[in-house]
Amino acid sequence: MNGLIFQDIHALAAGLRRKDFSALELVRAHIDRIRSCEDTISALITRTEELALSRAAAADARLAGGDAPLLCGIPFVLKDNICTEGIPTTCASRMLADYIPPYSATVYARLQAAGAVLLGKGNMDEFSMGSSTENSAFYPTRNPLDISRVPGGSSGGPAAAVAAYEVPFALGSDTGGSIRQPAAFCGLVGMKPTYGTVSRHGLVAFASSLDQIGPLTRTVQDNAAVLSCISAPDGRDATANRTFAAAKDLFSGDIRGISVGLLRFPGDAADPAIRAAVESVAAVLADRGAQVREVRLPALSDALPAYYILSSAEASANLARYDGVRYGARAEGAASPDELFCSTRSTYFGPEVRRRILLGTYALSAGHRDAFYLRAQSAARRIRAAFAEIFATCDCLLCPTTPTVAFPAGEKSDPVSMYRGDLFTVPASLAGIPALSLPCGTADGLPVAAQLMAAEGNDGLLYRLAAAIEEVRI
Amino acid sequence: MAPFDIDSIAGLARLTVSDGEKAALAEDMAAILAFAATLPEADPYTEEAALPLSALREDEAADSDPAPLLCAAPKLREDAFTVPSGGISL
Amino acid sequence: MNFETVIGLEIHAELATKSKIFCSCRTDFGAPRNSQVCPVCLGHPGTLPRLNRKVVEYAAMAGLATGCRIAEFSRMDRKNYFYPDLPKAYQISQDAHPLCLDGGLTIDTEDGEKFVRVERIHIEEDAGKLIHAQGETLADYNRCGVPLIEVVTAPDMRSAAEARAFVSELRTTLRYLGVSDCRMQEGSLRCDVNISVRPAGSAKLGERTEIKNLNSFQFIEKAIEYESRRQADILTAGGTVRRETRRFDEQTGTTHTLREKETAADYRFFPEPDIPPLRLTPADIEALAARLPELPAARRKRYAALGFPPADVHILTEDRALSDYFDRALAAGQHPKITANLLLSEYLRLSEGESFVCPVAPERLAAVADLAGEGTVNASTAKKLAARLWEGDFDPAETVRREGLGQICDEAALLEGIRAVFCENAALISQIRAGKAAAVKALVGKCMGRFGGRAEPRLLNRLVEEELKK
Repeated sequence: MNGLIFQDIHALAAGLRRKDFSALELVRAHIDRIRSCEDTISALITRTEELALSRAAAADARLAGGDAPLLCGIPFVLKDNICTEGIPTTCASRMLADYIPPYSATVYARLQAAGAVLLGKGNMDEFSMGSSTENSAFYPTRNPLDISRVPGGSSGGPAAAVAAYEVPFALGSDTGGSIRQPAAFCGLVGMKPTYGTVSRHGLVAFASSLDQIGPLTRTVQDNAAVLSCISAPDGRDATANRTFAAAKDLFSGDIRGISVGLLRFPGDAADPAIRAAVESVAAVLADRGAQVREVRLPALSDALPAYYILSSAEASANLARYDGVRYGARAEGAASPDELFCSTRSTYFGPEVRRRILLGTYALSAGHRDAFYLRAQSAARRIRAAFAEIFATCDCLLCPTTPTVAFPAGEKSDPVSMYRGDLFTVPASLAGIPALSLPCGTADGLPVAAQLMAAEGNDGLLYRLAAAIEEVRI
Repeated sequence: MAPFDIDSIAGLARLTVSDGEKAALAEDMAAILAFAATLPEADPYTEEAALPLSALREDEAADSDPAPLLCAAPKLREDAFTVPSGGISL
Repeated sequence: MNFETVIGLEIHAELATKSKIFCSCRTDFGAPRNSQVCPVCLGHPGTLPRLNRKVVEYAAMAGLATGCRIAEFSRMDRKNYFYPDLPKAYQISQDAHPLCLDGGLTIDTEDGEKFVRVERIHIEEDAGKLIHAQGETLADYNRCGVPLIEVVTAPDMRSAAEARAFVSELRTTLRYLGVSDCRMQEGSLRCDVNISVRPAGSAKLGERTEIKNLNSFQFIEKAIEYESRRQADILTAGGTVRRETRRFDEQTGTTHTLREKETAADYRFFPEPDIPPLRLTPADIEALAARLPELPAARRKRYAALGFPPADVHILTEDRALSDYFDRALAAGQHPKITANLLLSEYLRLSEGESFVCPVAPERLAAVADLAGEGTVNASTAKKLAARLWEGDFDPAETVRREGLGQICDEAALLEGIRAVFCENAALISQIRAGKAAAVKALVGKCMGRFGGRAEPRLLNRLVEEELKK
C-alpha cells in the first residue's frame, strides 16, 4: 500500500472505483505516512486520525453505492485558519491555542459533503502573517525537499503536507502570496482564484479584501477539481459572487492563439535560475502555439508598499476582536477592560502580528490616513486598472512566483527583506485576479516555479495553460 | 514624515510594548513606513461593483444554540461574559 | 447677558425587523441573557456580516418620510474602538456615504412652525449591554447587532421644548411607518444632545458638549435646561466651556463629565470590505415611497381643515392605527365631529395596549354617528349604541328600529311625561321654586329617565323650562 501515497487525486479516485483498494486502506496509508513524517517536518498542528477513519468508512459505503463525487474518500489537510466545528482551529497563535469553533467553514462543509476525509490542520505563520511559517507560535515547519529550509508561508504546513505525500491535496489561504509562494518552494501547483470565487465564511480573516482560499496539489488537473468542489455561491459571504466550473475541454492541451505577456518587473529581481525557468516556460508555450511577447506594467512598482499598508490596515481591524472576552486566551489579573485587552493581546500575539497591527493602526490613524491608507487604496485601484488594460490585449501574464528558491530556516530576520520576497505575488492579490504557481524544474535540487495570471474570472485559462506546460515537463 | 509615536499607536491598538521592544520596533516601523511613503497621492474615490437591494438577506429570524458559544467563554458567570469593572461607568 | 441655547440631536432608533442587521438572530426585547446570539454577532473568528434587506428598506423609508434624498450609492464603514460591549472592536456603520441626506421635519414652537434640518440618516449595528455585578461587569450580547438608524440634525433647535417637539415628531413619524416602535423606556429610541450657548445675537457657535443616552422626554428637557444654565454660568463668570461628553444623572437632574479625555476618539474609519457598496435604483426608491402611509403632518392638516381643535387633532394623529380607523369611519359616514367624539370618548379608553385596537368595524361607528347627526337618536343613545357595538356586532339602524330607541320629538308625548314627573316630584319642584338651580338638572334628568333616555334633549329642556314657568 506504500505506492498509494504517491498517487494524485485522479489516479486514486480511479483506483477506488476499480476497487484496487478501499478508502479505509487509503486513509490508513496516509495516516502511516503522517506518523512517519511529522517528527521531521511538523506540517500539522492537529491530526484527526479517528475522525478520518470513520469518514473513510462512510466513504466506502458511498463508493459502493456508485455515483460518488471525485473527492470521495480522498484525504486532505486544511490550513489551520479554516474553521472546523469541534476541531481546534488555532491560526498557529497562542491567542487561539484552545479555540474550538462552534461552526464550520463553507469550504470544509463542501469537502465533507463530497466525502473527502480530513486528516489534519496545517501549520502556518501566525494569523497568516509571514512568508516562511517560522512565525507559527508553536513550531516551524520544514521543507520536505530540504529540511534545513523553509516550506514558505503562510500556508507552509499544508504545502509541506502535500509535498511530503502526507495527503494528495490541501487548502491554503492566499492574501499576498501565501498559497503560491509555499507551492513554489515545495514544488506544487498552488492556485489563488479570482477574489470572490471561494466563500470566506469560516476563513479567519487577515485582510478581508485580499484573502482567498485555494488548493495546493501535485497536478494541475487535481487543482482544478478541488477548486470546482469548493467554489459555489454562498449566502454567508456577500463578496463571494462567482463560481468556478472546469470547462470540459480544459485539459485538451490546445493553447494555440492564446496570447501570453512575459511580465518584466523593474530591477529584474529574481535569481538567474528562476529567470531561466520562466524563460523556458515561455519557450514551451510558444512552441505549443501561444503568442508570447514581453510586457511591462509600471504601476506594479507601487504594489508592495500598497499591499503592506492595506493588508495591515485591514488586519489591525480584523484582529481587534481578540480581547479575551468571548473566546480564546485571556490574561489574568486585569483590573479594567482596557488592561485586560492590552494584557491579553500583548501576551498572546507574536511579534510579527503585533508589528502588523501597529503598522495598520498607524496607517489608519488620524493625521496619517491620507498619507498611507488612502494612497495605498488609490495605488491598488491603479494596479487593478493596469491589469484590466493589459488583459484587453493579452490573455495571460507569465512571471516568476518568487525571487529565490526556498531559503534556509532562520535566514530572514528583518521584516523588510521578508516583505520584498512577495514582490511577484502581491500584484494579483491587490487586483483580485486569479494567479497560479506551477513547478517548472529544479535548481540545485530545489523546486523553481513560474506564475501565470489572467483577468478576473478567467481562472480556467490558467489551468489550460498550466496543464499544457505540465505535459511537457512530465 | 511624522515620527512613529509607538505609545499612542499601541494605545489605540490595545497593545503594550516593552521598553526593550520599543527601539527595535521603532526602527522596523520606520523602515516599513519609509518603504510605504513612496506611494503617490490618492485619486478621488470612484464607485466599485455594488450590491443591488435584491442581493441582500431576507429578514428571517432563526434560533441558534448559545450553549457552545457560552462554553467558549474564557470567563463565564452564569450566562454572561465577564470583564473587570475598573473604569466603566454605566 | 442674554444667552441663546443652540441644540443639535443625534437620535438612535432600533428598527423593528425580525432578525438582526448582519445575522439571523432574533431581536426580541427582554429575552434571557445571551440567548439571541450566534457566531456572527459575537464576532467569532471567520464570521462575516450579511446585510438584512429590510434594514435598508426601513431606513430608506425613514429618510423619505423626513424629506431626505436617498443616496443611489451608499456604503458601510468600520468604526474602530475597543469596548466590552462591542465584540468585533469595530462597529459596522456608515461614515462617508450614508443612506439618507438633507431632509427635515417641521415642529410647532411658541413662535409658530419651524423647520429642523436632518443632515443625515445612516444605518449601523447596536452594541451589547453591560451590567454591573459585584466587582465584575457582565456582558449580554442579545442587543448586539440589532439594527439602528442614526438621525443627525443640524443645530437648529433653540430650547428644550423645541428639542422635545422634534423628538416627538420623529417618534410619531417612525411609528407611523412601522419601522420602529420607538419605546424610549425599552431603549428602542435614544437621544444624544449636542448643546452649546452663545450670547444672544452672536452668529458664532459656542463650544459644545454632548449629553449621551437620554431615554425619556422629561430627561431630554431637564438635561438641556441644566446644561444650558451650566454653560451660561461658566461664560458669565468669564470661563470657557470644555468640549466633552457628559452623562445626565436622573436622580439629581444634573450632568457630569463622562469621558475624561478631551481629545476626540480616533475611529480610523475605513470602508467595510466584507460588504460591497449598496446601490438603490430610482425604481427601488419609488417602490419604497409608495409604501409610505399618509404622514402625521399631512393628517393633522387635514383634520384641522375639517374643523377639529388642536387638542383633538393631536390625539387623533398620535397613533396611526387610531387615525387609520378614524379615516375609514370618516369615509363611511357624513358626520365627522360626532364620529370623532364617539371614537375618543367611547373607544379610546376601551382599547388596550400601545396601539389602537378596536373590534368594531369603522363603518358601524360611522352609522351610529349618522343616526345621531340626523336626529334619529340623541347623543346619549348614540353613546350607548357605540358601547354596545364593542360587545358584539349589530346593525345600528336595524336595532334602533327594532328596539324603539329612536329619539322622542313628539311635544305632546313629552309634555304628558313631563307633567307626570312633576306630579311625582313635588319636593324637587319646591326646591326649584325656592331658587335652587341645581335641582333643575335633577328634574330634567328624571324626565329624561321617564323616556328611557330617548327624549330629544333640547326640546325636553325647553318644555321643562316652560312647564316650570307655569
